[in-house]
Amino acid sequence: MCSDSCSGHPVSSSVTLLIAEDDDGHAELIVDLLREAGVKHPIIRCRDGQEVLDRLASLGGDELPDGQRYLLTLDIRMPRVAGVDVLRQVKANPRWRDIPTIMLTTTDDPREIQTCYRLGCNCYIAKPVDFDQFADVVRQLGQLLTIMQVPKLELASA
Amino acid sequence: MEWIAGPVILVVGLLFLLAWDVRERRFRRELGDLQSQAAGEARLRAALDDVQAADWELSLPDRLFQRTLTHDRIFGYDALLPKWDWDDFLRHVHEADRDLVETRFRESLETESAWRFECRIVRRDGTPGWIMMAGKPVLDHAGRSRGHVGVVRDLTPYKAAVQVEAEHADRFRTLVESLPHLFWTCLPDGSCEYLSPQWVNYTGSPASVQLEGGWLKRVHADDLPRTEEAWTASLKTGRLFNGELRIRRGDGAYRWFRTRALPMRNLKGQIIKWFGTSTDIEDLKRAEVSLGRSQQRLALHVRQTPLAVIEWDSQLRVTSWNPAAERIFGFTEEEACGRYAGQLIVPASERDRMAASLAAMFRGQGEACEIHENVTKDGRSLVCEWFNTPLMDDDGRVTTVASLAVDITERKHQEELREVLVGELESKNSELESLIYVASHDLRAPLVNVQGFSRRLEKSCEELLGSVRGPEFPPAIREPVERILGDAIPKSLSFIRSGVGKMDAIINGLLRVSRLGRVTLNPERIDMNALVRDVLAVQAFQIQSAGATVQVDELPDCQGDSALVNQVFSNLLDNALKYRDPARPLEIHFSGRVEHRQAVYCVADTGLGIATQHQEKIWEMFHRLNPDGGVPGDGLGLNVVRRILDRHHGRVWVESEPGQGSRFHVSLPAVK
Repeated sequence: MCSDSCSGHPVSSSVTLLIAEDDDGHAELIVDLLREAGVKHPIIRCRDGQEVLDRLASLGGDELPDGQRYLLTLDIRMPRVAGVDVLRQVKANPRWRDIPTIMLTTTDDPREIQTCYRLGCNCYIAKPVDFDQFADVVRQLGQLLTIMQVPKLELASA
Repeated sequence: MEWIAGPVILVVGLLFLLAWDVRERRFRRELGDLQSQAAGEARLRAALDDVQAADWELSLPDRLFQRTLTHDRIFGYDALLPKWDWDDFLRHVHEADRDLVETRFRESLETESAWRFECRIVRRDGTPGWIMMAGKPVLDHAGRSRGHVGVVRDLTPYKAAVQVEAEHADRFRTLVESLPHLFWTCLPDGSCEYLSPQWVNYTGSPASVQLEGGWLKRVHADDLPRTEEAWTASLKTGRLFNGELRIRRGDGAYRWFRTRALPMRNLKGQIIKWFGTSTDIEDLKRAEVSLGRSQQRLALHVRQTPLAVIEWDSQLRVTSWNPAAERIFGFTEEEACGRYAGQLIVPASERDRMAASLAAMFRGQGEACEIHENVTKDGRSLVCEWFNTPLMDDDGRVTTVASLAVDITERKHQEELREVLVGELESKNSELESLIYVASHDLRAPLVNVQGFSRRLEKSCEELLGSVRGPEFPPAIREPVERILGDAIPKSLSFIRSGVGKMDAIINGLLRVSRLGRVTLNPERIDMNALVRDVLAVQAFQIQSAGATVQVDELPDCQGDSALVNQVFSNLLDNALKYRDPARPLEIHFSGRVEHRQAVYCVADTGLGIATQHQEKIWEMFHRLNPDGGVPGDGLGLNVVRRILDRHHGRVWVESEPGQGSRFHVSLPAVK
């Protein structure tokens, strides 16, 4: 995994984007828009929350190059493990809790937004149905990625 | 009052004895007999001894007395003195009375008539005493007085008694006149002799006027026949008179009195007087009457109430059982009284608990209100609510527990049903909520795709269009493709996108409405003038664009959630601005007043107005007057307004005429 990310690149490009999105269409649109916005980071798409957790869990071994950084975007309603539960587990885990986590979801229920911020999400983005707005939002996310300081993941061995 | 009887009887007896006029004749005859009959003399002496009297003879002119031992004893001598003359006698008379005594004696010598006097004496040992001396000249055959015969009587005990009696009578009067009772005395024939000042005061006319008619004159006409009958009977039999009767007061009002009359008898047992007292018992009587009434009322309530009223003794046996108890539990009063709670209405499973709670009552503890399971005579089980009260005696010991019981079986059943219903409602509600949640996510998610990929299709079309414009494509191919890619497909896509836009708007509206139902109200006092100012400031640009003039009157404050009330007026203003009549300038007028504890506001406009047949529909969800009229909106504004007012227990209604304008009225709770 992560074959397209190499250490030795500038810090920002060593960040891997983990996108949890059960809707294939959404995933494709998001990736397209990010690439259009000039985001060059490796992008890994997970189909549900469990896949995200599995991937994060698998990062404990020696295969992970030192200096690897991750950024997580989570949809809320997903099969198996929902986005909010992924967020809860990530923020409750001392190894993972510094991973920047962005909720990217169609739900704009204020209670849901409140819950996510309480659990420690760094940003909550509601997907607008209007494509132009949607494109704007994803482009902004892309810009965010290029300027964001992403801490190195503390490995289990550290 | 018996203490007065003794002295009075004695006085009366002595008066009889000493009525000299009455006895004089007999005395003289007996004296005559004495001269001839020694036996008679001895008898007379014995009789005189009995009344501490002695006879004597005085010879004249030597003034020597012939006496008996009894005579000398009256003056303090144990033995008969050898000699006793008038001077000896005078010497023993108290010096203050000597003149009187000598005057009387001299008169008698001159007139040769009978004489009598009472005087004080000083006895041999110096002690004072009282005597009565009476005498009569004895004439010789020539008619000259040769001496006097007479008696002397020791009055000392009698005088003492008279003094005591006077003191007693004095004290008695003081006592009688200081008592609150009305007091009177009657002679044995029932005629009134004395009426106390209290009686005079109460009846308001002088005793002299009343004495004649007697106390009966003041008795209420309704009470008179039986009183008179009883009084007459008492006079006849001498039995105590005791009656309750009304006596007229000076002002004509009647008050209830308990009147008792006691006969007073002399030694021979003859009634010489009746002593009567009348005690004011009006207040007592009234209290009795009102107590009687409350008892009657209470009894009525206990009989009529739907509550079972039961009393228990300290052994937890029934002592009282009303008709409602019979209706609820099936046992009659006869069946229930005397039996233990456990034998009657308490199922085996509850016996310990019921007994414990009643026992706690008797210890002065325990709960006043409890719910118990009970059982009826025919074995039906009930749920009853019990209200227990301990009743205490004067020492504060609980003697009885009084219980009220209500059969709440049906209520319990209803409560359970209601709980089930509430549970169902709650689950329906949460279903609805999750439905809305799904709507917000799952319905939107595909829309994102439809929008996103239509845009992509559009781009693909543009790219294709660019490709077919090259010279390698003959017009026969290029033109239809260009028509399709440049016109037909983009038109279809634009319909798709606008449809998606509408769906998105509907979903957003649904979400707003559902969130409105969930939001918690924060009612507070709202300064409506400030609130409307805010509303106008936020929409200042729209107001200006619409060319509207807005007038705001002084508005009363109200109670409500300021954020929601703000939304109400924002929506109403928004509506007024949207549905303006292009034919004339728009004027919007905010006004308000307080009536029936409601603050009623009015937002009036000079807009298009609403046709009567539409006026009810405007409050419906997604209702829009003119969906294609180019007025943007989700068709929820007025629906939201109405929901907000429903939640405030307020009201919103409209008056409108097409072509004139609309007046939206909003009522909210006024400030108390």
